[in-house]
Amino acid sequence: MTIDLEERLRRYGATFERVVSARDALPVQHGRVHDVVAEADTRSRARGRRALVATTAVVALVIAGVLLALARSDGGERLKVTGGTRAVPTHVVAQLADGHLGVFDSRTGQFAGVVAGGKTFGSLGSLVAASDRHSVYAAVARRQGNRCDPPTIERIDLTTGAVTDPRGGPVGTTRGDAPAISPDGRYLAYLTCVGTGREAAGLADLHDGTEFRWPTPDGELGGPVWSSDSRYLAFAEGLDRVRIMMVRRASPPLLSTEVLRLPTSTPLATTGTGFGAELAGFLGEGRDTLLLRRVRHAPDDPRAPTQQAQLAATIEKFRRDLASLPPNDPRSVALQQDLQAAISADYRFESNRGLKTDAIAFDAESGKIRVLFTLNGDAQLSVDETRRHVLAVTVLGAFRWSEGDARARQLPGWVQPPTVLSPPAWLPSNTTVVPLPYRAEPATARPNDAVESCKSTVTAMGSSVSVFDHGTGQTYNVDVSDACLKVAQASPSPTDNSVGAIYYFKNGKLVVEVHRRTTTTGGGSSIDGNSPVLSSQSFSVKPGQP
Amino acid sequence: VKQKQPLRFYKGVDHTPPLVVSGDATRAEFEDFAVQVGARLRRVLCAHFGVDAGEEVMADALAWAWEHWDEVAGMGNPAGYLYRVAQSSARRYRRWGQRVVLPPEVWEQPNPPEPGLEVGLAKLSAPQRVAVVLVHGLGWTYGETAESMGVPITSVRNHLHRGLIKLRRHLGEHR
Repeated sequence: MTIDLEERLRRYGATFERVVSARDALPVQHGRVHDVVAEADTRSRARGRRALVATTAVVALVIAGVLLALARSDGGERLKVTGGTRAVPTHVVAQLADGHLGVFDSRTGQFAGVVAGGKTFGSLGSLVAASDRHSVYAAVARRQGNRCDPPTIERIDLTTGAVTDPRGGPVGTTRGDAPAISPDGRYLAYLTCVGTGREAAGLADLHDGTEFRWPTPDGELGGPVWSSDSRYLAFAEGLDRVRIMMVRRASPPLLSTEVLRLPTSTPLATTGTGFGAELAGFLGEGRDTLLLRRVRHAPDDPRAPTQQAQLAATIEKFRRDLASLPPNDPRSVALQQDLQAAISADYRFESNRGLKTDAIAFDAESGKIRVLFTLNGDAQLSVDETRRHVLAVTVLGAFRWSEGDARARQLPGWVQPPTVLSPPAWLPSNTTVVPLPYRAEPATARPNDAVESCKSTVTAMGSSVSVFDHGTGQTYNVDVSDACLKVAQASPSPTDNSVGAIYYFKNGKLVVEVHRRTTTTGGGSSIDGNSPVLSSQSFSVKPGQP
Repeated sequence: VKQKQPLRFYKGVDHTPPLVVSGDATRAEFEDFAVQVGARLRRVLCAHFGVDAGEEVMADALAWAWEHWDEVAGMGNPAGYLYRVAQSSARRYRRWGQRVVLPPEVWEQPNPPEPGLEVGLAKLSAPQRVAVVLVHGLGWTYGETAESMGVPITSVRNHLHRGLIKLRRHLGEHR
């Protein structure tokens, strides 16, 4: 059989065309392009890293010398203010009650000093440190801020107190909330909205001032958080979804987005309703990234008892200060009530009221996830009374995620609760039990004394009160519908809020009191120690059971 | 007791394009470019590097084009330039220089000749293979082939002539 070569080539061309044209049908995949770019970058960096090793030592010595000279030239030590998730920031910036910006040591809670040239600022929202470590981004509520009338994001120089727009325009151009700077300092992510009123994820390229917005299809947005390599940006979306964006450094940036739907049986979904679980951040680098979620704290750090003692001492001082105020001072009454709801008298129980979570970070030294809390951050405290408390926490879940495959896989070592949890004997029969996973300690772990001395967390959730038992890592929803029914019965109408309930701990029991609000001097209403009690009901809460 | 839901995993990929406040016109231009020029470039690169490797190198070239879009948009022959870019990019992947994998030749007759045409094509030099596949396989003109390869027409003619001689020698065919 002899066939002319040209004829064979023509036939072969048809085969070749069929194979290649099948790939033409695929749409332009930005993610695919990005994928290759990212791979190329990785390889390029690996080569560059080897070359850099030879020069890094010399350059580092030169830079160190220059920095040392600079530090000495202004006569003082320079504070490093970091905002990444790779390690606990050495120092954190916070706005003091008198409007100044102050710096605290994140590990000891010690106040380091007033910065920003001693200038005072109006009410600043969330603060995030810029990559230069000498300025911060702040969400400033110029107007009545909400998601669709968002505050402005401004950059504050910690040295001079000068205020500028992050993108270089006039102050007030960039509008959003919860700013998050990428670790490489190039992008600023935040929550904003689009003209239709839908919430949107915002991304500003600080290099050229370009701004991007992604409206969310439905649900509220949370976050954002950056991966430590500045490639991935995640927003919490609704209760059980995470929108992950891959950001390629270019102008405009090469972007693609994936929606990671988390298993609905995990607390990530269940806690979204009342426990304030949020995105905590990426852990590690590269594509297989651990995604952490913030959780109410469960101290298992050996230093936790000491920190609890510090917390107790601070609260005791706070109580003494309150006692020195006039007995009928409305502020005193309100703070007493907040404190009562925040922690029980024996420090055995603790609620999220009065505690504000400021930052979460991975402590590379101890291998722990650490959280910075502010005690009574909204209260009018002086500088000396504003303290930071660093507590170790466990996380609700760690999820492995890979680019291009939006399936979440919970990591081994993170224990799932049993499918069916028997209700503890001490709970009322109509109690709803909601389990949360708890990280198992190895059998060789230290005695569980720290856990036994831990607090439980109580959070009001509608007609139930959720108690988080740090001894077992489980959460129980104590049904207080009887008390709520009394609230409803005592209310003149469904929309009337003249009757309310407060929760506090007394003698180891959770007390739910139904009060009638009293009118305050400012024209508002409040429930406090002077408001009439309509009913009172106690529930036994014994951490460690069952 | 509220029973826990069984553990389920969901998969959902959303490639919804973002609402770009600025720069959307550039993105649209690039997408048009990737569709129009990409089809021709894919054939050239698949003939040069093999189908799978060619696809990888093409993604590299498109990524480079996106990063240097201002430069690429003003070029007279962007396909030819990107072909050069792809060749430079492919040098980084050593394994791709070892063997070119082309689609096997399909025969309807019961006794196909040995060896297959794809084996002979793989043994040609890359420019010769590209010229032979594009001109004789896909029926491109010398001008189209030369533009896509970024070389003069005379070079295409030389590559084609030498490639066919080598291919005939390999296949044991004499004229």
